Amino acid sequence: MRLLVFALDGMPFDAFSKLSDELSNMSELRDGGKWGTLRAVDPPITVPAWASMFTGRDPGELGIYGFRHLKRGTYEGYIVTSQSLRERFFWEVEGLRSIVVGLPPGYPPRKYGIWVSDFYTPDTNRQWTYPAGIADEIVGSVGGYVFDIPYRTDKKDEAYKGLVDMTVKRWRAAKMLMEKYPWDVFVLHEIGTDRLHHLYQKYFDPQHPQYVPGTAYEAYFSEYYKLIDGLIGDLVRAAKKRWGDHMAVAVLSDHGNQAQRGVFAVNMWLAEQGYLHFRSEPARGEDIERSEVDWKRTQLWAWGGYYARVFVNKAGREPQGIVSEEEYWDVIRDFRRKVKALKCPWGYVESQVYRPQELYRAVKGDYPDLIVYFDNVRVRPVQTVGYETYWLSENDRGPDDSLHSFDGIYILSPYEPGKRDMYAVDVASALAGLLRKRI
Amino acid sequence: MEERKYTTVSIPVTLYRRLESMIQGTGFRSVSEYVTYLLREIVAMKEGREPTLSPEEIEEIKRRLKALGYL
Ligand SMILES: [Zn+2]
Repeated sequence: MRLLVFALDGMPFDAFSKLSDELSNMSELRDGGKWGTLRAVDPPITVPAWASMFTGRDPGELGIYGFRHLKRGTYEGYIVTSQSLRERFFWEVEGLRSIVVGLPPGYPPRKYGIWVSDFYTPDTNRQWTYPAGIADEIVGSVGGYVFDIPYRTDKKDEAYKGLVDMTVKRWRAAKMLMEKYPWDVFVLHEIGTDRLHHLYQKYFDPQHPQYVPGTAYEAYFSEYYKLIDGLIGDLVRAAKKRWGDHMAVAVLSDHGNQAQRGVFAVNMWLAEQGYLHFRSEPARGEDIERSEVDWKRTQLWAWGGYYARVFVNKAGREPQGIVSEEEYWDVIRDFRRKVKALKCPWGYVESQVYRPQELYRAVKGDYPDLIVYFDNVRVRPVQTVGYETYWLSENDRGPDDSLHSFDGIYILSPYEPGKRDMYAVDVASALAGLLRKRI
Repeated sequence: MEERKYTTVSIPVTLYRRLESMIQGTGFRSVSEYVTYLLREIVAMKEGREPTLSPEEIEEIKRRLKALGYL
């Protein structure tokens, strides 16, 4: 049995519900298999989401909580790369031959099977494949390769052309590798689905506060998903022609996407609540990491992204920590109460505050003190400071239409047909089980 | 004298049997071929542990992730 996995980044379950009549190949797989909502890991972010899904370990067990970590006992962050992943993927555990294209965190290339790196890759002048020679083969047969597109842009037409070009090149490269080299597991990750939502959500989602109906961009939603569906159909047929029908297919996403409702300057709010102090007035839009934080008076500070990581400035742990062991729990309790009472310009929202120990089976590595989702991840916390207010009209990093959600999608075929929802951490065992079946 | 290209490694018979059943239906023609493949991968993984990212590359990745809104 071989397994072909389509890893569609950020495809929400409801995109499939809305478009399933037009997505004939995915619908055919669904009709012959098990499918449903795939509940993303906490936090619902690309890194660690895919790593959790393919190792079967939750982010706490992996010790990977996002694209970066704060080194415990310092005020310094570091980036998570492919080298931060210490656990093995299920195909590695089983000793199977694999070809993996674009899976994050995918740079530097992982040295197992054939590996093509991901959107982390600075440029094609580095070693971006393992073995190294695969890169030349890809460029030779496809005529170039694109890791990602610049999507925080107002040039929406140009961006779509780039999106399609990137996708077509990646799937051509995948097809070449798929036909040329033997494999038991083939994983093709496409970042384009996620980028589609970030670029155009407000043109097709009435839930977006700045929803603009009736533009030319509205059609991109179904157009792009149809492109992906067609490419899935092509690749499945080519794979079966080359290697025989004894093949399982999985379509997966690591999280969903939903309309961005607002942007929240979390450190400005922490300052207003008296948790965070500055030694000098920060410049407008300044990164908290560049600010002169008055650590001797600061109890809490935060990082932004899709979720906030809140750090306690703990005595005996951080170099200038002030919160004692006894005060630690009071500070956290107080913070939780204040988040509950937080009022957005459009009313009260429900936010979630977790200690990592409440979310994971184990808590390894450099975990934050608190993980916070504002308005169920519909409000983006940003870490920059120096604003007059903590409610911002736009993301501090450029235009962005969507935020992540917990409802991804999965389809496993062939399988006894039916809709059953699944948790992302159970993907590895489900796929390994599918591979062991001798239908 | 011609240098030998292969040598023998002993493994338990039970393990051999398990490997034998694992390669059924795959492209591997023998347990030896499969074991060689597995060991190559493991050795490559072990050797690949040392960091290969320069500080400039780390900065470049950080810039990209920031622009992408992940940070
Ligand atoms: Zn993602």
